[in-house]
Amino acid sequence: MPEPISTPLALAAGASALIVALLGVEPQALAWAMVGAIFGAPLAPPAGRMRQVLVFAGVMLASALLGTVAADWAGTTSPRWRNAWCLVLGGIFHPLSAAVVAAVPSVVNTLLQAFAARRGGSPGQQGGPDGPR
Amino acid sequence: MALDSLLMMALHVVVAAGAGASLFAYLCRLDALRYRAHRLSIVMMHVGLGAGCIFAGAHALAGETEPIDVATVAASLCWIRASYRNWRDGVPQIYSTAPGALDEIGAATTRPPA
Repeated sequence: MPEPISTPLALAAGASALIVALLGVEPQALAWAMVGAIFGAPLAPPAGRMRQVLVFAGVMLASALLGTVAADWAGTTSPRWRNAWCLVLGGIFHPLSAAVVAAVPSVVNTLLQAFAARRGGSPGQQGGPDGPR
Repeated sequence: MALDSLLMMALHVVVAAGAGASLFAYLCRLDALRYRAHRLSIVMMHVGLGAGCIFAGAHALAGETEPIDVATVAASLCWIRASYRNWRDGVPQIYSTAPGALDEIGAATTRPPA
């Protein structure tokens, strides 16, 4: 005779399976990413209520995914290390994303300069390798 | 279904709903709080209560609600309710780390007797 399962446990098992199937991350990683996002919430730029909730959800999901990827990349098999990655990434997500966004123009400029140098001129020059016309 | 399991299920649902509501409230509070502009103690209190609500909600969703989860959600909701009048217009000035205006500091000190 099978063991009787209570309704909340069945619901929890279904929700966990849905999260894993839908998002590809463990529910525990999601919970720790949520805690990290709470720590990082005061670092986010001020926003309205609904926007704050949406940003929080986005940071939580992104941190859970990135933390799982980072744990895989680091070769750690322990779920504790994965949870720690999620927690840290959730906490520093806003400063990290601000730094990345601030670095984009200089990176693009460097890439453009490298591309222009390969073609034989600087981006400000007109007329190609023979010089300005 | 037995009455005790029905009551436990109702408790899980109430704790999960309370945790979600208080998490929303703490997100709204943390939207206005800043680590350097406001006292660390008040920021960390809101962060800690919000994190407690997350774990209480996770326990309730897993059907493993414990008394500490009920206490955490109750304390979180009570703090939101008790402080709502002072926090309605933003973070109160007393939690700011910025130095106070000189006239306010002067008014706060006791004048020596004439």
